[in-house]
Amino acid sequence: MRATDVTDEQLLTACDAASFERFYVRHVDAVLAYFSRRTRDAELTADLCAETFAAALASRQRFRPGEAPATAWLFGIAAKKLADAQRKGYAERRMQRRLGMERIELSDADIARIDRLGEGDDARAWLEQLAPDQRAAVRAHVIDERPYGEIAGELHTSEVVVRKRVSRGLAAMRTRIGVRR
Amino acid sequence: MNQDYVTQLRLQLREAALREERRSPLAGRAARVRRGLPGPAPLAAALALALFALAIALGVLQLRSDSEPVKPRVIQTFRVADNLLSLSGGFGAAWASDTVAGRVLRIDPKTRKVTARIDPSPPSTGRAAPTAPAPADVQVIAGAGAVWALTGDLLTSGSQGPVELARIDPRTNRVVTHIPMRSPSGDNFAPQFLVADDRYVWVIGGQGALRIDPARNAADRFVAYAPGGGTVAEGERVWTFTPDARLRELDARSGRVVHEVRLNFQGIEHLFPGPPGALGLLGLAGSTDLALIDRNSGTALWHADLGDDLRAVTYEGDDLWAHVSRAPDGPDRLVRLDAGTGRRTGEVKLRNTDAVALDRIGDELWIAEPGGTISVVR
Repeated sequence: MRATDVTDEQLLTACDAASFERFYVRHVDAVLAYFSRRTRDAELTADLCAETFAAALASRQRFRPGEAPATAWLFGIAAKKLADAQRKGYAERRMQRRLGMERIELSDADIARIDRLGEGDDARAWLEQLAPDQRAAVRAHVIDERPYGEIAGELHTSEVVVRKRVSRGLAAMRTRIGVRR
Repeated sequence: MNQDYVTQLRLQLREAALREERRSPLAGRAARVRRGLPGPAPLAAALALALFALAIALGVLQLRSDSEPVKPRVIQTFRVADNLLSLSGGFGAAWASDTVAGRVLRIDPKTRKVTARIDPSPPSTGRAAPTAPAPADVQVIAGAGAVWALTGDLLTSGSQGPVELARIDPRTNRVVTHIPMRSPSGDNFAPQFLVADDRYVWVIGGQGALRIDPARNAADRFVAYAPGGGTVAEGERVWTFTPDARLRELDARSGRVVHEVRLNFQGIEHLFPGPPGALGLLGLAGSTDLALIDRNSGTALWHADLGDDLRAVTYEGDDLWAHVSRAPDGPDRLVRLDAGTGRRTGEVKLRNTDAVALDRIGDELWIAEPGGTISVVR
């Protein structure tokens, strides 16, 4: 099995250091982009990103494969960290302290890279972070405005399944941006 | 050579993960058991048995300490759309926002059927451009003599497109006007959601709150504040709190601070409206510890640990209903508290995680879920 064949879910549930490191490498840019677009602050983005992955590392045993994609789980953590930071005015370092991690000082190159990551199209970036089946369904129905029946026929599945994928995809996107009443 | 941020964080996480492995070898075994790989089955069985016994003991204690007058329960779940974002009761109907179709739905509380689908988007723009699903977002609320729908770029709080407030006449189900959501100086105040009472509608944003006068269909007050943790607006007053734990009351007419008091409840991070008619506000510490705060003295009158993250509250007579979530780990719950004392009087487990809104519809409590279903609790 090649490295790219291993799913995010398998990397998270493996519970060894190397697997989590691969999970981090796959998603660190997306998480940085997510925070950078929302905060427009490279320092805060870096702090939130570190805290998110620290929390993911500390709580990965609570991840349940099959209930939600690993990316949805990761961005659920990210959304909560962002909401906490918006309430408090700063990013907490609770999980990093628990894991003995130090705060990383950013170089000018780091700041430029994080700012660049934040310049993408928000909605498209969030769309790309969805699970493949949800991404295809949301793109076909919401962006291309195609009817459910037509999409179902093309994907060789039922209309009900396509409806669920669209619904769950949009819900996941909303969760990732931290919508809260 | 200096390493970049991504590499430094990668190395720190690797070292932390290795420390965790060394510190807790059982963790790795538990993971193997969950995946069905060979592991210490007797230990897992003993642990499960112990947890089961503990759960029974805690359950018995809980039953003894809680005298629940009437046990709330989910009596029905029905589907109205592909996705829902908000829900509000008024004018003999339930009003919900379908974010896939970008419509406001009018639902008959008796038949549970959708009786109208209303497009709240401005006629000039029509359906959203096919580049992103964001403009389909709609927040709806019933109050102040009409149904109001916040529509447009709610996904990024107005940073990438306009946000407008549509007024819907509940007698005809037609949009009668659109009001642009901008501060008096024309700035984006990051509109997020709506609150309404008998007289006014407030649009709460991340950087300010805008009041709408229904008699003129126009904004008549704007109060700016620093981005922070929650805002409560009512009539001529707006409450926020400062990073140094002070509750601040602002006059909506002048925008000035008219009262400020230190909170004696530690760690408040969010505010919710208090019980109707009471001179109190709900404060949330962390994400689970709820308190009723006297808005004059800043004193916590009661507090209650809800166990999971609080998402929304609503009131029903003397009861306070708190919607709590542990998403993505488990189903949401509705916790019923005595609004006067904070005592827990009931709880109901919901079918789904991440429910998006709740409101009182007649003598029932309706909970809107992202999959387009509504659960009814009585």
